[in-house]
Amino acid sequence: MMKKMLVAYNQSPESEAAFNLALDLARQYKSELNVLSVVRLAEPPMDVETEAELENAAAHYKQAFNTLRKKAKDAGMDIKTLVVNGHPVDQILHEVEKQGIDVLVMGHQSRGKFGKWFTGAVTDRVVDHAPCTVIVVKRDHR
Amino acid sequence: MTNVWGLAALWLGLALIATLISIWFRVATALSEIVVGTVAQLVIGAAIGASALGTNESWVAFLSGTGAIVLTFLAGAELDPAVFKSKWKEATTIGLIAFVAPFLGCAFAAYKFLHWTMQASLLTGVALSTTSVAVVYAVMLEFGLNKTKYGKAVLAACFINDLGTVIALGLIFSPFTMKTLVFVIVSILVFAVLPWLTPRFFKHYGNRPSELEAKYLLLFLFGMGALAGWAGSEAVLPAYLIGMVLAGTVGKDHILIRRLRTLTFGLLTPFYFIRAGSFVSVPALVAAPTVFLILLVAKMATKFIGVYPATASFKYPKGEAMYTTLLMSTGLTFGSISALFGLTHGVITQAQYSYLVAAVIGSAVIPTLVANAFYLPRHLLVPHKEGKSISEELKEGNA
Repeated sequence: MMKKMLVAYNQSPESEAAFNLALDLARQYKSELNVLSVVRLAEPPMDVETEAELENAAAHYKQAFNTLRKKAKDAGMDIKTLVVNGHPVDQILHEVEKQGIDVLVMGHQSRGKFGKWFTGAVTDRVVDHAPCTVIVVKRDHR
Repeated sequence: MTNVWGLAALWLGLALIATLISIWFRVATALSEIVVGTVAQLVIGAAIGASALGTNESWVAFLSGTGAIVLTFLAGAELDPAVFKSKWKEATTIGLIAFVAPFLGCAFAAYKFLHWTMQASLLTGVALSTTSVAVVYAVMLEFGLNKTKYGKAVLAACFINDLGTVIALGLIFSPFTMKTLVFVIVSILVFAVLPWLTPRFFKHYGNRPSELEAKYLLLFLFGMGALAGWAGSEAVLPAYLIGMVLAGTVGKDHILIRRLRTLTFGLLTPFYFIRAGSFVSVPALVAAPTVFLILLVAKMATKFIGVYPATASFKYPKGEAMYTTLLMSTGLTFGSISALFGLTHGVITQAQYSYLVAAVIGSAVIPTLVANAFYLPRHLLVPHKEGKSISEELKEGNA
């Protein structure tokens, strides 16, 4: 069953590939397609800087979502978009749970060991803990 | 002038490196600027000479001081007056406890265990009494609590906490003389008139390419800063209060705030944070790391003792109350401003300053590193009553 799909989107080439695949699948299975972007603030959050980052991110994703919406419209689809703040793993899983998502689609971003420790291996942790099917899309997926 | 431009280029080069580091490692720009300042002083100081960075040049000190003043003003302007008015009782209670407990506890720890002077101990209490509004705000957003009664009360409490810090910094170390009285009376008059005058003045003359608004605000910030200095107080005290009284007017003008941020982050705060970092003595930290640990533990423990019962009284679930309490233990901006005030006014030595800044940074960074390294979204995975996540329970329970 693929009634509701969610794409975790961060404008990386991997997440672009994930969106394209999700759009394709959603069209084929007549699923509802949701797009989620998580704003991860610099740590530790700082007075004034945090507010600036949030405003910047909201404006940034508004523009990015317009592009995705246009792409979806060209494919005869409609999408729902959402921007949240926090730890990506936490927020992705929270939305999956809250929206009752059947399939989660996300890009695979490989990082070095240090990068994984410092910023967290988002894909690994989401796959480990998601209560639904997760499709991890490679950057060069065609 | 060649020397000035050369030095300015060096500082902006360091600021650029710090910004790149903050982008690569997703750390706050202020934090990377402090670290870059410390490393630059260590490396450049060893290679060329201790004065090579020119941290005591008057124009560097001016830009740095202006950075602290404008940053403090912007921090005060982030207050939501409507929320504060509706939640002032709870906010004042939690905020005062969150200030008083670490202020007294850390001052006691410095005096009793580190045998620092009374003045240095009080300064330690002030520097470690702050709470980062930004950290608490980010967590509230994450849990969706920023719109709940609980979230609003805690956020407003953070402003009261920091207000306690700046008032203590502005008044404890100044001699109580006639000048102090003049400063207090003029401040009250200015704070009463500004919220009335400013929107009217901006409406008539503002919104032009000549940036009248920025000049007007800087005039009051510098003017009140000068008065504070004349009375032996600290310029960030009136700056924070001006920010708070103008939060309902200037604070809501997003375009103006964005322009001020450009000036602040683009030029002023790099000078402030890099300079603050350059005064940190790495050899002193290495020689006595236990001092740093004592200060860090004192800060965390006193915040916990003070804030946890207050948050628990709101019937907040245990785990989240603990989380919030720990997060209220961080405050980089006001912590570093207080420590730098102590150093430049001869209240603390460079070694004491180094321990204090390290403790302030430690209390801001360590919880974050631990959370990133060992983070698992357990609160979403463990089933809660009626199958709801903790965040949903919180929203329902406190909305």
